[in-house]
Amino acid sequence: MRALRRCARWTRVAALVGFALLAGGGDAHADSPLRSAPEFALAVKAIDDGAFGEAIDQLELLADRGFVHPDASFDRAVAYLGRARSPQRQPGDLGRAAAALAETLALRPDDREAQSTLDAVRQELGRTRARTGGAPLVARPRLVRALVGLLPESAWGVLAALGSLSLAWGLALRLLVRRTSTEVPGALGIGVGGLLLCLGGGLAAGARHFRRTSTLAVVVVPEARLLDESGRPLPMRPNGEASVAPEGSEMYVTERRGGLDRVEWGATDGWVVAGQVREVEQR
Amino acid sequence: MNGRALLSGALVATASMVGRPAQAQVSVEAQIGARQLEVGDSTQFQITALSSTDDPPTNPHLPPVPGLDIQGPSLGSRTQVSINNGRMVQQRGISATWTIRALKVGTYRVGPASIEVGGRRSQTNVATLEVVPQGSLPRGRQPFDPFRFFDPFGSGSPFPPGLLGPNGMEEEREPPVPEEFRLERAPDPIAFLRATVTPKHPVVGEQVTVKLYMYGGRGPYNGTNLVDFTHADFLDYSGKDDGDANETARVPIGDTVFLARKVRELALFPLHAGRLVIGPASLTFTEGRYRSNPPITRSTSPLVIDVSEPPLDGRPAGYRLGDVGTLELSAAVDPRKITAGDSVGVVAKLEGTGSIPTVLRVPEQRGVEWQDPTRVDEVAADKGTVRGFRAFNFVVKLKEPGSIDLGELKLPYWDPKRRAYAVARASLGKIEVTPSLAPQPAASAPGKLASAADPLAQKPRRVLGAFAEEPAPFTDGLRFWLLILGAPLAVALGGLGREVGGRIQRSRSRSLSSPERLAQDALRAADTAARGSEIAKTAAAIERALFLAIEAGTGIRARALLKSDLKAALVEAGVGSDAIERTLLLLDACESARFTGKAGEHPPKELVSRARGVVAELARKRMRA
Repeated sequence: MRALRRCARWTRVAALVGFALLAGGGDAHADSPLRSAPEFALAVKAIDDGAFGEAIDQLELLADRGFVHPDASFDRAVAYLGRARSPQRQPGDLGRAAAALAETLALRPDDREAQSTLDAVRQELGRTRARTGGAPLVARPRLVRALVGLLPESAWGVLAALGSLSLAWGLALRLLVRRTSTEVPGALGIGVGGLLLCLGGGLAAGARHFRRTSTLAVVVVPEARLLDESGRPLPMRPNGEASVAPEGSEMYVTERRGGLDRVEWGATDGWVVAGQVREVEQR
Repeated sequence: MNGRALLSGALVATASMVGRPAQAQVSVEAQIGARQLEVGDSTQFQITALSSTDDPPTNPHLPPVPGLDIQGPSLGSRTQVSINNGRMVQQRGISATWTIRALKVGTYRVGPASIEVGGRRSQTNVATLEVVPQGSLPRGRQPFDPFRFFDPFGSGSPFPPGLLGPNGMEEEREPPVPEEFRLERAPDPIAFLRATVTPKHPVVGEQVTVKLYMYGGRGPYNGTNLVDFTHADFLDYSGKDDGDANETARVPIGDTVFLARKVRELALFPLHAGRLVIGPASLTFTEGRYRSNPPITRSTSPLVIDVSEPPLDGRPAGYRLGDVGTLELSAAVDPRKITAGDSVGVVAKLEGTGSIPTVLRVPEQRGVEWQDPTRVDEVAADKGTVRGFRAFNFVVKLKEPGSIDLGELKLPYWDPKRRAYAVARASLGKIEVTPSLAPQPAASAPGKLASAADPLAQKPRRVLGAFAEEPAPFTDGLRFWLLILGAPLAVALGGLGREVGGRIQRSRSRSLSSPERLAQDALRAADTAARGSEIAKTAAAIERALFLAIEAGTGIRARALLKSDLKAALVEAGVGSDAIERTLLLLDACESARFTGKAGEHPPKELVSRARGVVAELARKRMRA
């Protein structure tokens, strides 16, 4: 009994130390004060007046200056959608609207209005693609990226931390306490903890890797042809389709070199002209 | 009066209206380079025909003249755009140039030249050319020829004689070396190429001029097999190969006088930022003293240019990357009074230097519908600088009545000379729109309903809501990974350490109480006692050492056995008979010494020495076992 009590005490101490370390692990981010931007007000007025081009100019200038806000991104999407429906429409307006909405959702994931509008934009783009018989808008992602995307990175991290704790507890029971009564709980802790640590740690590491090495981007031209490293178009796919990413489709930029971006579109790797995709600001 | 005067040499011949219905307008203009020529000299005769119809002028013709050798024509295209009373007039046409060489003395009538437009021919007036004997015109001078650009006065200078100094002085001197050809050191004594880039650090969209020069140190040469620069990351406004048109300069470099010539001049515009590379050019030197096998071919190194974006500070809204130059914007609107639902024409002309932007942002507003413009472009490299204009012709439909201010056209651009942003503007003014008498289509209400149901018709958000940038997830830091991997590892290492520590401790305690160690201790005690001549003590210690050595070597506790039993036990344990004998003898000697207190036939030191040998032998037995 004394051994069990000692083990429980050590477990509590380890948990407290772990919590303290985790709490200090990330940089402290306080809520930054809301920066007012006169360009934002000008853009709203321009949208009201039907001057979508001017609104786009103002909001793009804001974005160029590093101003990141989900509402500014949403209004940028509204301006692009407005222009796409006006005689001044430009090729890729719907794709740029999709990129702005994806940015809104990346910055504020629970924005339902942005989500429904993005769905509507994708439906519109999908209808257009269906009329022309082009490739579908959504490409099937790689298995690893799909697995990693099942839960947020922090959830995988919590799972890994729980696994680590369980494994440590099981090992402590087996190696330090050595009582017949602790053998089964110890083995259980080691087994379950090891499994959780491998699963959660592996997927958290994968999510971290993808987050640090790739950026979500949206195609903002009617079609972005995938190229090889030297700029030549990739060969046709096995199903006979050209390697062309349609407007509004999402891909991941993994490298930038000269005027080309290396991208991962579904399971296909390739390069696209840098101006054909727009990278989405992340939180 | 001879042909020296600038204007007298030019002859405006005809501006004719071809009798086609409607707007079929054709203008034909002719020029002759000189009115007087010496026999053997040449001049040029040029006609320029412009038409505002879709039928371009074709098939120019100049009739032959006996006594003159007429070669040509060489053809070029022409485009002219003018804005008159708010309307853009665009004319396209051609220029045709003949070279006339005087063969005989006399006065000749050149022309009329003619050209065909829409199936009809238009004619110019006739020009008069007087051919005089050689030497009749002033010495050292050639008739004025406006088409000879670098030397219109025939004196080797683009300036009139006497303008730069006393006559006759310049002809005796070596002509100065043009600055662009100067070099301090020749990389090759026979022939070499040189490429220059200006500017070295441009911004995206700024003109980069690349020049290629060839230098030959063996006299006159000809350049062939030009492999031009490759420049995939640049927009090219250069003309075709213009190397033959450039003059050759004598350039002294060190002890050698090189003949240098500019071969290519490229006007390029970088398309994006970064370290952009212009591939090498190469050229083969032929003719004269350059004939060799293999041929003398020279190439340049790749040119690397650092291209950046114009600064973000001060960037105006609507600036598009690549809009660089010195630009002016003008616009005309016609008519100014219309009925609602009608359209006005807006002609905007954007002109200046640089790669003139091809898109103009229009001032949109509700009730005003701008159609896509038609465009006329005239942008080309001129004397090393790309300049020209783009004219945009918009049709603007105004739906609502009232006094509508169309706003202004504006184009932000980066001025590389001032290193600052500027905005080209053109105000469009107001249009008086009177209400339409026709009934308005009743589509507004359903339209509103449709837009309300349209998921793509979203209203903007008027205020920036609360938003806090989230910190990076806790999995981002190294501490998290150290913790989740380190915690179980630390526990495992702790358990392992504990196990290893226990084993070491047990082993140590075992070694401290082992018979071998105790036997050695007893031997050391015996040695000490022997030195002190303490017979009994020595014997007792040796006896103890032997018993412990037997225990260590065979596991037999000898003290508990009788001597007769000990011998049998040692034999059974596999100890050699000699060792057994010596052990028993030693035990007997020790026993005797212990009881008598006197050294027998063996002194104490010898006993100790013998005991050490027996103990060592028993220890070897243990090791063998």
